[in-house]
Amino acid sequence: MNQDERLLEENTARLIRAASGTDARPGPQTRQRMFQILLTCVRERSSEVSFPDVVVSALGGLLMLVAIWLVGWRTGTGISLSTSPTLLIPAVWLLLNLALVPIACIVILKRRQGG
Amino acid sequence: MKTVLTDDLTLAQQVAAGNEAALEAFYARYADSLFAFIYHHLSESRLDAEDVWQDTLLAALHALPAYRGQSRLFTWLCGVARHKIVDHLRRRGRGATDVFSDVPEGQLSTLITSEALPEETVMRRATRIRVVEALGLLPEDYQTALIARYADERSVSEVAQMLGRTYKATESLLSRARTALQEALARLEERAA
Repeated sequence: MNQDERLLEENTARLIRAASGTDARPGPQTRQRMFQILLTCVRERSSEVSFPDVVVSALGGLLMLVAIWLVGWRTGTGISLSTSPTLLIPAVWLLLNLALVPIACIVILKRRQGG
Repeated sequence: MKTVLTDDLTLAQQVAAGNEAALEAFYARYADSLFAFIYHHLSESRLDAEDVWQDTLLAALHALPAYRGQSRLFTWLCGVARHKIVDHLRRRGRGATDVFSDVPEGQLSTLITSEALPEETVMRRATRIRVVEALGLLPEDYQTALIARYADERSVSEVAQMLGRTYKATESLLSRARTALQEALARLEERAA
């Protein structure tokens, strides 16, 4: 071992001892506890109900069809939505879905930001 | 155009996707180094370091999908830790200026082969932080070998046994790891200049 290598080894040893000695490491229990916390986070995230693209597309398509059907029925027959239960129920369902869109957007954005 | 570090990026993506084995690898690889980084910044206060370390790891876990592999994962984690350290110091009514303005004396990467480093230099907080950062940039086997040999003061035979290598192969690994550490220090000095 030449002089440079010897100095490199001695200095490396001192630097690493000062920087990464046992004092500068988490205790075994803290370390284990923290890992469990992270593992729980990962598991919770994985177990969240996913919303596949097919379901989202189907829901959007269904909403659009109901809206078209309602408008068509109303225009064709001239019957008021509030007087016919056949129209009222799909109309309420449609409005409820539309009202939930902003809430869904907020939830999606919050999840994307990791919150 | 920046180079994308595929190994780090793959690991980050796997952890973000909920792969538990990847989380274990990520934790084994970075948790201790990150703790040391925070611990030295907070002037060796264990309790404070544990709080900030926990906050940092949780924040990093949530933010991992945003990691694009354009810097080393450990450098990115140190960035997250810096934010958490500043938040912590603010909450304690302390400024963060002195914590981040301290830089190591001289060019460690040059001094390390030219003289026996003065104790004052070795013990300086900025030096210890830089060494932790440099260690975090090394391949995992280099880091493990260096810490086992020099921080835990194990013999070369014990390190060899731990890593499942021959004595000769471990000596050679340690030699390459020392050089790699010197190069990592040089890269950090270049970046800081």
